[in-house]
Amino acid sequence: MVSVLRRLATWRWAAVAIGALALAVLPTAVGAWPVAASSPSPDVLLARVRSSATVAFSGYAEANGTLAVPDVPQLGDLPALLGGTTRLRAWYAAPDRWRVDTVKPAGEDGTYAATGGTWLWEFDPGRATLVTGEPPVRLPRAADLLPPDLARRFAAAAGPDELRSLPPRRIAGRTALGLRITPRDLATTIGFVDLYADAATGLPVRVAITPRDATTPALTAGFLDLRLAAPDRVLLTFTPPAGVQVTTTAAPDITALVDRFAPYMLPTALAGLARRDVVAGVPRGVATYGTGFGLVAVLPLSADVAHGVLRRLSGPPAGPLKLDGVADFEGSTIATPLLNAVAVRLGRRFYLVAGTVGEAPLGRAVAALAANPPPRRPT
Amino acid sequence: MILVELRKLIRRPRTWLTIGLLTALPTIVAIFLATTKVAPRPGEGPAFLSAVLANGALYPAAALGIVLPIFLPVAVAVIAGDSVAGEASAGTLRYLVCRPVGRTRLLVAKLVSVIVFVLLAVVVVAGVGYLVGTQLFGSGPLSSTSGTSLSTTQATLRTILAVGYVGFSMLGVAAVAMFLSTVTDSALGAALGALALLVTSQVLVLLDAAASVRPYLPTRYWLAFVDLFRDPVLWRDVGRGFALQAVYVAVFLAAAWANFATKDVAS
Repeated sequence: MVSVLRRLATWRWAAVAIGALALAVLPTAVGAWPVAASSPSPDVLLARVRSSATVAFSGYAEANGTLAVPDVPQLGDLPALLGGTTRLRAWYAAPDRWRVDTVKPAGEDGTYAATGGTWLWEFDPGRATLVTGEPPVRLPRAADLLPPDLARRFAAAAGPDELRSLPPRRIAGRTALGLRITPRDLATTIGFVDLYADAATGLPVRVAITPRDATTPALTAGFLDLRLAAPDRVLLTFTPPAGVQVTTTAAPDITALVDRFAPYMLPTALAGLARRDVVAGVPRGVATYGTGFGLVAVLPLSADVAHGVLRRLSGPPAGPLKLDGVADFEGSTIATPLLNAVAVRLGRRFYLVAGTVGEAPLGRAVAALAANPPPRRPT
Repeated sequence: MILVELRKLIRRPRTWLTIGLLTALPTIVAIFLATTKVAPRPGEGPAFLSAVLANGALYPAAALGIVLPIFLPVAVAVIAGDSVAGEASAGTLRYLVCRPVGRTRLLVAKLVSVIVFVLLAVVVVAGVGYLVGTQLFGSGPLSSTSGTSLSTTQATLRTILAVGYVGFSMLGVAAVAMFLSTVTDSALGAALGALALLVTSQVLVLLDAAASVRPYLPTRYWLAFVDLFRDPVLWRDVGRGFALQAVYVAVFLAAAWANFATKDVAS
């Protein structure tokens, strides 16, 4: 009798163990199911990625950054975007008609782009803002971390000799073709960018950016759910709810502010890096330098802003700036595997110099600004 | 058998004392908020708490958010941990299993009793939350977290869904506590065992180094009830939360059955 009961107990426990094991293994088995797809050549896939801005979609994505950028108010959402997990819901109809919600544990922030301006909605504290105009230069926002946007930025800078194919994967339930971009520019901090695009449309569905000499990505963004169809127009329209505070404001034009408070004519080349302006027309006081993936941005600061920034960067994770051959300066550096930045006072001028280059090229750029101070713009 | 267990549950003063304590916390919080008008700063405090000052109709969801992390799982673990071990420690379990009903039926009856307690608790918390919220803060049309207006039907439906989701989220805890309750004769030991698992889960959920196991942790999707108030509803985590709890319930109830069905009951 006892042995029968024992045998019964053994069978019962075995059934439970097998059932539990099957349930635990099921998600991994589904994820590891092989994907069969014929990959086009890397340059063909790159071209499809570059022209994917017309593909309508809706979906849920997550971006994860591991870069420790100090929390400086003047940098907006940048520290949180690069140093944490951002959950995004997106509905995209066209480049000028889309909505992206940043999903938060107890609420959300919404961005609705339309022809009349951009609505910003913050559930907590319950605030709606209509931003009119699109400035030529702006701080990064959560929507920039959506895989299609992020991937197209890297795809735009990639050359044909920097590409190689990766095996296809299943991402967000869709077959995705892979592409690795390995920058030839040795000055850049970017080691390689792995990019996956939907096999049917070329829409980027996952991006992973790995720093030079690293094996794991410092920034990843990927869809977890994706539907390739034009979203319902109702979802792209925002009407402020009754009783909330509504504000209308013009988009802050950083370049105009810089021109007003620090009107310097930045040089056409800096420490051997050629200037590549993002603003068409008259030269402005904000400039970017370098080619390909090695980018250096120079932003003159007003004294008030600079003092605030330098105060916030007086301790870790920022460190003191060391410059050889420069006499009158004080400054701090922010060093991360992908992005480096320097906030510095050179004599009576202040600059923020940042880029996807190593600390040495950045230091040379600052030293060049100290050696040849840019002339003031004639009034 | 089920009716006997339900009658026992309803007649026990402990059941109502526990539910009373569960409703007391959100009520105290509401009184403080209404008196001082000081809401948590944006992004801080339990879900929806900073929004209830403007609309008390949101307070049922806020009340669930207040009791969800600690109070509710503790209550569920205590009740479920007591289900079998309580009988054993009182010396009544051997009489129960002597009756002409199978042990599996007894286990099912205990489970149904725990489920009814969980549902009763969350419904009472939400109901009292609505009464307290609308009385202290007033009420108006609800809007989603996305800023769109919700009709009365939509708002009611979403609140009912949130209540159901939070209740279902507690079933995993109940199943673990019930399993432990069949392993030990100590109701306290069973409850503490379930709570130890929950605390471990809540710590690991916040740890980036444990990201690979995060989707399998029992508390991972508890706060997804907030997603029911987005527009459109974000079903992703809600669906996963339901599925994960179902797996925990299936595995631990099966383990409870495997252990209890052939257990040598001496007390």
